[in-house]
Amino acid sequence: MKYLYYPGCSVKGTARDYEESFGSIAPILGIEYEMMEDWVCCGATVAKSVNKELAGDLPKHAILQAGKRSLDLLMLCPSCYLNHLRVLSQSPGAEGSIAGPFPAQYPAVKQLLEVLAFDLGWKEIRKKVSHPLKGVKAVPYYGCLVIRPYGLGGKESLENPRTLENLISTAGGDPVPFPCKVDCCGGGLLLSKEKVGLKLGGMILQEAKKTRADCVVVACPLCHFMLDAKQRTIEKETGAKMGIPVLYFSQFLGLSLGVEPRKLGLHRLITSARSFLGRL
Amino acid sequence: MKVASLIDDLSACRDCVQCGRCSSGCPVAFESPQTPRKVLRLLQIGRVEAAVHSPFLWFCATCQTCTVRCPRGVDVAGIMLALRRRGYRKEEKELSFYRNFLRIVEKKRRVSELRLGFKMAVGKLPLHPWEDAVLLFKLWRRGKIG
Repeated sequence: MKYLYYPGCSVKGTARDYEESFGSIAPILGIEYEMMEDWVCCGATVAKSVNKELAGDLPKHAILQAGKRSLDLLMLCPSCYLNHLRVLSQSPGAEGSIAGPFPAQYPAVKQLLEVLAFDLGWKEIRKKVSHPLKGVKAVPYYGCLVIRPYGLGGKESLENPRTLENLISTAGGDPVPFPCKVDCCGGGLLLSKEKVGLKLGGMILQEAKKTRADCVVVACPLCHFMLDAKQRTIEKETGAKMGIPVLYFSQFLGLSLGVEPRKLGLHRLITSARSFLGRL
Repeated sequence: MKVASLIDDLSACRDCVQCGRCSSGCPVAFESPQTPRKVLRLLQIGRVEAAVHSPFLWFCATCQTCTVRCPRGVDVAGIMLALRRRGYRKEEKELSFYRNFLRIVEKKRRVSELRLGFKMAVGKLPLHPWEDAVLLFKLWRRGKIG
């Protein structure tokens, strides 16, 4: 399986650890990919809120490149994933001014979680788990866009997905039941309506804390920023102590594959995972 | 799996039966002075201008919960985006986030989170400036910015 990897703005910045951990686990799992060099921003939620033309044109850059090389697109960020998926599935020219030429054989757009669950399969991945994370209780937290509105390419439940749970148990850990797993973390509002965003993030962290889990496992750079980097601010805002490490699912899986924490970018976490890593 | 494109046509609001499921699942309805159900109602009774300027629009986190839960299949989040596009004025101070974001994309083709964060912080001081300053330093130490 070979993919064309589209990084995205967050993944090159505050979510650098997401990319690092992906880069470390991909060769072990046999995921081959080419780096896209000349990529542009997908427009996030901003382009579609302001200008339809721009919202259609930005994702087309990557789709045209993938078409030329006849490779499927692989993304980490759920927001990029959703924007590209939306533009890909339309007739050329429905949105934006770039009319194509769209390749006759459209490439697919996939998120890493989808590749793990459906292209590789948990059975295959389990064979490569060398350091099962026995006794580690982890909160599976999906957030919004990886699941909504298309449920990982139509293969997952929109209200009660199980992919992250399967990933956690494949890695040898125990997924805890988490009622807020598809609730919004408020990350998208962090810069425009900070108070509302922090309130939503606070709710997720408080619920996660109640489960007495060792860590939260997430799939989105914005969720990660909100729950990990902004955790101190949320503590200040809510007055409650949290102190719960938040890991990308690729980091969590990487630990069970025996990858060094440093190569997974775990030293870059703002809320330290030291106590949790020490117990492994 | 059927993927919908961005809609401009607001006539889908006619399918709405005002059951309120969109609003009960909406994560920001508790903060906003209006709910998504109310915005759809405004459209149904023809008060399009009121809907375009509804304060709810810019509270929406585009989390898509309303869209996937609507029993009548109305793309509620899509309608909110369509209304946003109609009502967006780049001079408006409240919407500086959108203006700043687009300016960076137009100039650099990619977004620098640091630049965007700075621009926003200059326009309006964050709620917890001290915590954010410490966070900025931590992000830099960990190689996540710059």
